[in-house]
Amino acid sequence: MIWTVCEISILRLWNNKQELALAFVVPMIFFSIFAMVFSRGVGQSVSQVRVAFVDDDRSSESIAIIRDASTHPEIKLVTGIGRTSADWPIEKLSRMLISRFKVEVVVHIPAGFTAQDPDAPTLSIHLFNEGVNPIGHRLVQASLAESIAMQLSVMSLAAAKPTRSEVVFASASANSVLNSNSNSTTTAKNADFAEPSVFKSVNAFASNKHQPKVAMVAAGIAVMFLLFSANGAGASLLEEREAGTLGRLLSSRLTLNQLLIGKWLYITGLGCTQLLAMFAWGQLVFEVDLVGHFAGFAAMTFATAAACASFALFLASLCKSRHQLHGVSVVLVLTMSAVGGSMVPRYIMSDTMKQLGKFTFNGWALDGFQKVFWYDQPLSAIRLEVFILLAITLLLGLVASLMTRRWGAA
Amino acid sequence: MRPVSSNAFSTDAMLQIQQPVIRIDDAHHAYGDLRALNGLTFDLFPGELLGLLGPNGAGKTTIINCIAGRQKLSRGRIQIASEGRLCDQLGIVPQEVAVYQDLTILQNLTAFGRLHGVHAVELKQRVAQALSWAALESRRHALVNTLSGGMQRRLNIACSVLHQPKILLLDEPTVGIDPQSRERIYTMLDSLLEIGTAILLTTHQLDEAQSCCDRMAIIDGGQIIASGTFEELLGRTIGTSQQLNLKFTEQQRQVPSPLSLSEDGLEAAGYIDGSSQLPRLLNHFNMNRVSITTITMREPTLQQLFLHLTGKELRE
Repeated sequence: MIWTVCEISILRLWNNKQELALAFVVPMIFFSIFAMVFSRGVGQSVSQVRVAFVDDDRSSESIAIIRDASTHPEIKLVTGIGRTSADWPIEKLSRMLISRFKVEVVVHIPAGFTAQDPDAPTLSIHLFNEGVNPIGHRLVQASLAESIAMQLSVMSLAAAKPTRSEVVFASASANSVLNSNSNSTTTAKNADFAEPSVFKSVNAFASNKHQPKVAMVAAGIAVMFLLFSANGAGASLLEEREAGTLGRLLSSRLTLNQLLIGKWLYITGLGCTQLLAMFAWGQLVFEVDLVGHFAGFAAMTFATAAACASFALFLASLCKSRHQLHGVSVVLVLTMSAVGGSMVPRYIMSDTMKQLGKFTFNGWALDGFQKVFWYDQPLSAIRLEVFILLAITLLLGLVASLMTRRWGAA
Repeated sequence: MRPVSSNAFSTDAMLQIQQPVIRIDDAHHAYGDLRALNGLTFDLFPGELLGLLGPNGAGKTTIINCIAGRQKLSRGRIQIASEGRLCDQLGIVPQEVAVYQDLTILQNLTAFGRLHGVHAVELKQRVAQALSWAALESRRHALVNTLSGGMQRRLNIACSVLHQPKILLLDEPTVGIDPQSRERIYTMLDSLLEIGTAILLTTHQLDEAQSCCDRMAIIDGGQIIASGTFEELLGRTIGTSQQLNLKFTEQQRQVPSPLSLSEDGLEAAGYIDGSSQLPRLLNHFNMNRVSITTITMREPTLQQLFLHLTGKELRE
C-alpha cells in the first residue's frame, strides 16, 4: 500500500516533464549562481573594490604608493574622473565620487602625510567608504599598508639611506583626484606608516545622520517580493482563460488591450501600495527615512512596480497554464533576485556577476533605491534607472499585447 | 413540449416568413487537417429555441465561436441581422461556469453588466431583474464558490443577458446539474423567448432537447445532416410509429398483424401507427378472451432518431 502511494507520486512526477525538469534544473541553476557569486565568478574575474585616490600629498612617494596599490588584484582603480572643484571638502568630494562614479572606497592621502615623523604620525590616510560594503575598505586598507611598506622600503634602499629621513612634498588640495601626475620630489619613508593606526575608515554617508542599512535590505527584499506578487496577479489572466471567463470578458465590449491595461494598472497599483506599506513599516520600526526621501522613493517604486507588472503579463502571455507560469516565474524571479542583488549583496560579487545584474530588474531597481536612500541623491540622479525600468515596462507590455492576441482569436 | 411562443414557428415553411437573425451559409473552418465545419448551413429566427445536437467534435462549439467572432471562417459567411455592435446583440453562455468564483453574485452581475456597457442608471435595475429572473435574490451576497452547481449555472446565464441581447448562444448550459435546476433554466429561457430573443443551444441532453427546443439541427462532421421539429425529423426518418408490447397470462399461438409473438408465446410486440390501431388490437384480444397483464406503448425517441442519422451515440 505504502509503495503504491509512493509509486503514484513517482509516476505523476515522471509524466509531468516540466515539473520533473524543474525539480532537478532549479537546484542546479541556484547552485551555479551562488557558486559564481561566492567563488571567483563568471569568466574568472575576481570581486574587486572600486577605489579612487585623492592625493593631497602630491609626492612621488604618494604616487608610487597609489601605483603599487592599484596593482593589487583586490583593487580596481577608477580612472578618467578628472578634476573637480578645489573648494570641495574631502567629505563632500568622497560622497560625490561614491554616488556618481560608483566608487566604493575613496582613499585620501593628506598633504604632508609622507613628510611627517613616522615615530609620531599625526596625519592619517582616510578611507571614505559607502557604508554598504563592510569588507571593501578593509581590503583596501590591507593592500595600502602593503604598498606603503613596499614603496618606502624601495625608496630607502634607492636613496642608500637608513629608513627615516625628511621629505619634501608639494601641497595640494582636494582638486587633484586620483591619477594626478605630480612631479614632486621625494625621499625615503618609513614602513611604520603602514601601521593600522595610520588609517581611518569613515562612512561617507553616515557622518551627519542616522542611516540604517535596513533601507538597502528593504529595497532588495521588496523588489523580489514585488516580482513574486506581480506574477501571482498575472496568473489571474491564465486563470480566467482556463475558467472560460476570458472568453466571456472578450465577448463583452472589453477589448484585449483594455483587459491588459486594466490588469497592468491593478498589478502596478498593488505593487506601489505594497512597497509603500513596507517602507512605512520600515520607517515606524526600523528608522528608514521614507518621508525624507519620498520623491525618489515614489519615482523608483512606480518604475519598479510598473516593470514588474509588465514582466508578469509578459510571462502570463508566454505560458499556456498557471502551472507552467508558476514553474517559469519561480526560476526567473529567483535567478534575477540572486544575480540582481536581492538575495546576495552585489559588493561580494565578481565584476562579471555585477555586470550580469544589469540585465535584471533587481539590479536597476536596487541601484535606484540605493541612490535615493543611501546616497541622498536628488530625483535627477535616478533618471537612468527610472528610464530603463520604464523602457522595460513598455517593451514587455507590447510583447505581452502581441502574444495575447492569439487568445482573442482562440 | 415547451409551449411555443407567439413569435416562434415550428416548421421550416412558417419560419421562412420571418427574417432570420442569424444566417449561416456554407461555413467552413479547420484546425490543421481537421475540418471542424464543413459547409454548415442553418438559420436562427427571432423567438426560436434551436437545439444544435451532435457528437463530440461535431463542430458545435466552433460554430458558436465563429458566430461570436472569436474564430474566423475559412469559407462561407455568417450574417447577423442586427444593427450596432456585435457584442451588444449577442449573449454568450460558455460551457464552463465562467464567472468569478471569489466574487458574490451581486458583484459578478454588476461587473459583467458594466463590461457589457449597461448604463450606470439602468444597471441597478437590470441586476435586480436578473437576480429575480434567475431566482438568486436571496443569495445575492453569497460568494459564487459557496453556491450549488445549479445556482452557478443560473448565474452563468444571467451574466450573459444583462445587456438584453437579441441573440443568446448557450453551449451546454445544463451539463452536470440536477433536473430541478435544469427545469428552472428552461423556464428562464422561456421568458427570453417570449420577448423575442433567438436562442441557439448546444446540448447532449436529448430528452431536454426533445421537450424544450422548437427546432433541432443535427450536426455531424461539421455539417447539418437534418433539421426541423422533432415530429418533422421523425416523419422524414424513422417514422412516427409507436412500439407496442403486450404480456399475456397464458401462452398464445398466434397474434394479429403487425404484432409478432415471442418464443415462449407470453409476449407480443410490434410497431403501430398512431392510436387508431390500438383499440382494434385490444378489441381483438377481448373478443378471443385473451387476458393481457401489461400494455406498453413506446414513442420513438430522439436517441433512436440520432442513432439513425449519425450511426453513433451522442457521447461518442
